[in-house]
Amino acid sequence: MTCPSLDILGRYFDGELDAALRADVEQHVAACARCAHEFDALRAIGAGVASGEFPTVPIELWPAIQEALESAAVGVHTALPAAHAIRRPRPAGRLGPRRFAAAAGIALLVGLGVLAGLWLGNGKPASAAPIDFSILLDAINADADAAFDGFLKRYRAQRIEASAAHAAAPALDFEVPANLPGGFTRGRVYHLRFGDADGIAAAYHRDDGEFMAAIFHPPVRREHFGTHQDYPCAIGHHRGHAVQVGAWRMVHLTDPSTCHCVLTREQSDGAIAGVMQAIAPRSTPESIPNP
Amino acid sequence: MSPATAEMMNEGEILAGCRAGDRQAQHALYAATSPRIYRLLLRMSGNPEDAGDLTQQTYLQAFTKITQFDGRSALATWIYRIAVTEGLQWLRRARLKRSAVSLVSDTAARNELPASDLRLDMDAALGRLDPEDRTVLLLRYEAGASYREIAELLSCAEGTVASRLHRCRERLRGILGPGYWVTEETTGSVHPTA
Repeated sequence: MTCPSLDILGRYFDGELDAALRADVEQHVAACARCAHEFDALRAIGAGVASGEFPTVPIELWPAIQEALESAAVGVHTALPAAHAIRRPRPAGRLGPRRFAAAAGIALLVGLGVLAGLWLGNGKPASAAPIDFSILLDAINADADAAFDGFLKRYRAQRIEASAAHAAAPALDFEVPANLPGGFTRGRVYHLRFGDADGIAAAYHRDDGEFMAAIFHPPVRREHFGTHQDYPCAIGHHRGHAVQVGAWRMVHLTDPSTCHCVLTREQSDGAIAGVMQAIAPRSTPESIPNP
Repeated sequence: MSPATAEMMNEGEILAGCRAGDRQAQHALYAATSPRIYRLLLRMSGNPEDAGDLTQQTYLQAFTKITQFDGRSALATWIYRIAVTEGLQWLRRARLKRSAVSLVSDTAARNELPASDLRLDMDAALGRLDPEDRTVLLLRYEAGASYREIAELLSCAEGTVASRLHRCRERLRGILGPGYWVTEETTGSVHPTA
């Protein structure tokens, strides 16, 4: 057999030749260096198209789908719900008064209405992109350290010294003490990027391997928790909100400059209050509005 | 269903939950399949905004029509097909829009690269093909569709699919440059029909 055309070779690669011709081409490719080279090229193209990295799915997508589903009660009716506009993050500093009102409305949806109202009432523009905690919460029960690593990767974490944390996120008010109540010792500290805003995360471990994490970020217009329900809670004298995922609880204590988040399996409000006092020592009850 | 069990649902539980309109089951399905769906639609449309809208439409279609899923394929495959259909509809609308405003096709410009730009990653190279060509390649090599299936999806003859694939592969090779697949042993070898 003489060298088949590239078109025939392509059909052979795609498994679209009839049996007789396929056998001829197969035999020829095995013996012909040039056709084998062409076949390698086809294989590289096919494999290249089939593979490739998966881009990050925008975090706004699921809430938009959920919203459309809720408005149409999908699963009960057969009509296709209208797609809802995907709330895409807007550049910092470009929110006009109407947008502030819209942002406040969105914040109300996640139970942050009063806090966000105060923050927006100060006239400060939103400075951070929405934060997707579902990355952390979805995987927390399987492997807490791996879930934390996934969250760090998503927000482009850079390891820093604990002593450099305040300088790395000057707009935030927090502490990352060497020890936390309950026998936890500070491990690695990271600088994160939430859109254009700085954040800090610190990992803590106990001698028995128990993990706890502290994450600090600016108050944001929207936090995503996937399907995990966010509910208001009071920790000590503070009012905040929390998400329970199996044995894990993520508690948020928000004041006008900083949202202090603790991820822990500790269930005692008293013990968590001690941790909050240590990482947010200047966040007084008076600074937090009552809902 | 408690949040703790949502990540551990098997396909049967996800399907049953989705049929009952259970939001956690829907999210479990979305979390498991959306990276591949979004990548497909991003590659087909070539821009994140359209890919996001198409992904949203795909899941709204899927959750609405979940009772029509007959179990002859994996649930993920069924959703993938819905995504392909959404992507093709977008392609037709985009084509109509292009012709309605009498835009001069920039396909040729996209397919020609400066000689210095010989090495690109595959996504960048795919982005330089026109959407129809890109879709044929994606249907064949990412979705694994046969010529007959592609012909049905694109409403054309199988021979057209074959010749189009051949042309697309050659364009892609031209964009990617010779270094993309060449091994040392085969360097310099040129196929007589090239």
